[in-house]
Amino acid sequence: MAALALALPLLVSGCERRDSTGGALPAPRTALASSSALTVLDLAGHTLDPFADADSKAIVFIFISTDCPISNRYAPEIRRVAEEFARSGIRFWLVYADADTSAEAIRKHVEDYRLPQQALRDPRHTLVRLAQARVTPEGAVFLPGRRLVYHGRIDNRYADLGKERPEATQHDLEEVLKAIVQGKPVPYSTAKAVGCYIPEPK
Amino acid sequence: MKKRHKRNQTPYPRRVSAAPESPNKRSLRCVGCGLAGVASVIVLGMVLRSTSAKHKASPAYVPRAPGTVTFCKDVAPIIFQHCATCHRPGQSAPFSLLTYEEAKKKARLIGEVTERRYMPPWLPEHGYVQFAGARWLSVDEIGLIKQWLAEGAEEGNAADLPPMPAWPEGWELGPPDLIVNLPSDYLLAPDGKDVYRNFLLPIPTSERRYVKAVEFHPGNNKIVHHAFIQIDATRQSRHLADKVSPPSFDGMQLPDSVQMPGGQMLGWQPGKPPYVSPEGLSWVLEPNSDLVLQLHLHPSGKPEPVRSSVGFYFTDKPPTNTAFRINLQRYTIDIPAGAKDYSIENRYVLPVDVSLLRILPHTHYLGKELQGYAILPDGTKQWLLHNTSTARTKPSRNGWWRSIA
Repeated sequence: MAALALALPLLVSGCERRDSTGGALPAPRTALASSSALTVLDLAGHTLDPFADADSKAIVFIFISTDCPISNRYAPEIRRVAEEFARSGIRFWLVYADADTSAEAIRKHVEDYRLPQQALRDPRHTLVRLAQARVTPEGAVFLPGRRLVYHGRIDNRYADLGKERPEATQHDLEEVLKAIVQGKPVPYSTAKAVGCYIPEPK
Repeated sequence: MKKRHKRNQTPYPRRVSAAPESPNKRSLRCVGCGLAGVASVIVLGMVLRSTSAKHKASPAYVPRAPGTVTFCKDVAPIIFQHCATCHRPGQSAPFSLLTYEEAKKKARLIGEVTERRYMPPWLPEHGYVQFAGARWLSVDEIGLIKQWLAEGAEEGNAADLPPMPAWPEGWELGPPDLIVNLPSDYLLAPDGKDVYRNFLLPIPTSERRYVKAVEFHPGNNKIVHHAFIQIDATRQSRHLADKVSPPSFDGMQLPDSVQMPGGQMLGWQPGKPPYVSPEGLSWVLEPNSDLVLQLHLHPSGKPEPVRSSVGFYFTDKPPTNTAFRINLQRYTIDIPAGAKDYSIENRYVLPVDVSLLRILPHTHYLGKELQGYAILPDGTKQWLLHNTSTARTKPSRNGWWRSIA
């Protein structure tokens, strides 16, 4: 019930949208929760508000985990996209939502896989709920005002568990970020991510 | 029983014949039984979509009393038997499933992948052939996992927990008579497409040897998807590697001189136990041969060193019979654009009685269904293999090979 209780005050627009396959999508949401409701930790264990950077054109959360081979295999792609769009004023955060993953394990993971540096812990799934994340790896894009405009797969390399293209043919996250950088309208969209379920918070 | 050696009928690549499990030997011996000069036909065809064969219906799961299904009593025995060979520390699976805490954390995933039969990896359709070493979960086992998950994934009473299986340390078949290692680490790049890399390793034997088994150790469980173990009695492969990047080179194509020795199917996949040849079916390793180790490697996201090893197990007994391979394969496949139902077929008429020891289905990318069967002299059809394109058997990027062999 915790997820529902948090999500209800966030619902703003009720019109149903559809993804490319015709499936109903949840209504776009604007995160109105105050920063005091966020229990997001940096690697030193301090709470912080990842939305606080008012100058960013967008804030991107990449939900990843240390033990998911699909998530790990995306490390070079995550780094590439983060480096490309950081130059355009888009802020990237890595989010580790498994409460069992220590800050030390995260530091080692970031170093081993040469991931972009800003990593967060989200043991109580504040960001998981805001971003509607299900699995790792998964991305979520917020515009200023905490308006969620995209969440889902990074690209379409994985069609399903064990079903993988040699390389991606559709770069969903990157396309959204390009539109933002180019000042184009960015309607809410989502595309189902394939990966490892984010374990329930403790 | 007579056996006759038959060379490969098609040019390389011949990977189609590396590996699998032993089907029921008794029934398969019927492939040629009572032939007495009458032709028998084995047909091993690939069918992209077909409704020709009906799956025998499995009995439905009978739910247990609500609240009685627990990890210790019901789920741990399934996991220990079918999952933990790989899902334990140091093995190929990305996470361990030896304890309640570990299984509880992955309970949703376990429920999903077992229900879809994505795990354990085992693609042959149930009810056609009884394979040795099958990793098939019964409907009851899948139902138990599902009920356990639906009712909160409870731990239960620790006294119900079965003993943890004892897995062998090091070489599964004991200390090998000869170990051949990669001379140095091969470094796999963190990103990009999968890599097929062929390593040329001289086998230090000065005399003829009879090999009853080989055991492969990947040297890096995270990135080795599968391995083929072949022999080149010539220097062709070595020269090829020397020209490119000794002692190895990329690609699936190998010189014709590279052979899977003695009709063997020597390969490795995660969870597949090493194969020991039956009595009388050792294979001959001539001195000055090169081991050609073909590794399918998948990048992990970070640079990964790999240094694989192959252990050889010799016997004093020369072969008294000869295993051979029949490659029913097709490389000239031209599917018309938009075709939804395209099948290819290949067959071979056996001139003598045979025992079928192993079978390897292998398709890439688009294979949706694969049937293998023998037509016996009396006209009856003996199933050898059936993989279908149901939700659970959607082919991976590497086709069927991943799971059956």
